[in-house]
Amino acid sequence: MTPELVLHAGLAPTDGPMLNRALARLRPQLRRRGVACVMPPDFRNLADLGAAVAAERRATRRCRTVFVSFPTVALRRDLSAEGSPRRGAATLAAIGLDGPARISLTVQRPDRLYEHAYLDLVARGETRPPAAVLCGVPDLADVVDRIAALPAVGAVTVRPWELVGAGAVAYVDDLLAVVGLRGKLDLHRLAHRFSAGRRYSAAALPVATALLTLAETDEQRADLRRLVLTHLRADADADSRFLD
Amino acid sequence: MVQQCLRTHARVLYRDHRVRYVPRPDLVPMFGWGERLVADPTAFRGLLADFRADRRARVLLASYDNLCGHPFLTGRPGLYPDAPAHLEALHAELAGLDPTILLSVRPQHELIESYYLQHVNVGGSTPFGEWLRRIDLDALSWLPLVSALRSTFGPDAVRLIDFRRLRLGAEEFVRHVLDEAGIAPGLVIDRRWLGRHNPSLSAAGLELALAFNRRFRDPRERAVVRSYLQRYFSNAVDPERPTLLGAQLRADLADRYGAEYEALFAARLEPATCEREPA
Repeated sequence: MTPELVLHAGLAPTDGPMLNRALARLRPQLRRRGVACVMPPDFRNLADLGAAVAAERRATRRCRTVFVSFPTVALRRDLSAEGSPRRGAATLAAIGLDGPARISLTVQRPDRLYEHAYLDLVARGETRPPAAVLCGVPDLADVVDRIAALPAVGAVTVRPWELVGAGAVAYVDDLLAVVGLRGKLDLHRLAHRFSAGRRYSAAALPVATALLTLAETDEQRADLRRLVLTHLRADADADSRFLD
Repeated sequence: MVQQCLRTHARVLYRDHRVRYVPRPDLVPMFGWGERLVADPTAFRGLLADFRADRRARVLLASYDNLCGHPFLTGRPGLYPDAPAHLEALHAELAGLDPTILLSVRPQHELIESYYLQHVNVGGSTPFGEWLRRIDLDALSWLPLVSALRSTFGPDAVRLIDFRRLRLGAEEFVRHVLDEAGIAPGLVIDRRWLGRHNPSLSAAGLELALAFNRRFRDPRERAVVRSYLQRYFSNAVDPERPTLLGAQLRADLADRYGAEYEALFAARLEPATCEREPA
């Protein structure tokens, strides 16, 4: 029997790395329940995605679902939607399973997505203003429609990022609903190890962009990121707002 | 630097030398700039009571650089003009004990430059020339402070540390401080602690700090700027030091105070000698 394919395509600023770390920790439990779960760094690009899926299927008892988490499929870090249908189709083809796939898309309010995307870019070393590096506030309905129109896609499930406000465990548990495992895995160990990604506050932008002009090496930029996250991280969601 | 070393070795000092070290952060709420000890010594009394109740500890060791107050106060001539009142308060609290007081001093031109860099380090943006005009260069003698210490605690209780000894190395300096305090002979200093400590801003770092301090007012922003500049724009990275006092002014200060400064370490000065005005 061909397993069902579920592709989680969380958008870039929606705590994808935290979800992937949590899924990696839950992998033994997922395997026992017939879910072969693959996420970066199991694969680095589409060329080795198929091999990673095949290996995980072999390690999964009576595999009923292949669950791939690939957070940058739908939108790029600059919020560009150009090419997202092509990337989605190529990803599904690389996985190499027959049958329609279900796509899980984590979204957040577009203006907040824009703010978080920019703060994340500054944390990575960007010094230009938002309008120079982002493609504008994305039209998420259009993104969903384009992905849903792919021939290999059977359904698209949209999940709100705002659930992360309930805590990392609740956020991960909600995602597990896409493979029918919400409330069924032992998530206790996640509570101590995982939290939503730390993000720059809006107040960090002037000092971070000013000091980034002095940083010449990756080490210096990483140090700066650590300092900014120590003193000027967003402790509450409102701290990361900078749009009027 | 001394405080970092003592804190690193606090456990060894207590276990092997029966010295109970009080970290600087614990002293801040008790002393502030010295005024808290005068206003409300309750917390400090609690510290002393804990020490007295500690049957293992033979020595209570505290290192705190702000007890004497600010070194320069506008309209108040002399170094550390608030020190006598603060020292009297400390002396009153230490009644019945046998304290040893260590005072670390440095030549006046070094003190001025170092304190200005500290002013910038904590967010100041005043250019050096303007900052210097507020300081009475005719009233920088260490003698009044040394005199106040000796008259308050007794001449034998006061030891002077020449900060220039730091040029011999951090380990040598710490050992000298401990020797003068008469504690922890043979303390084995953890090699991991040795290295560069408290680097100052380089010339480029000072210019950047002044510009950023004018622009950023939020203490959190300043904390980021300070940490970043100390790491990548210090004299540990770039040996070019900022030019603050000119050669002529440095020479003038050396002429005015140099002999007196050297005499501090040449012999124990009698209180009467200490009270004389600088030449």
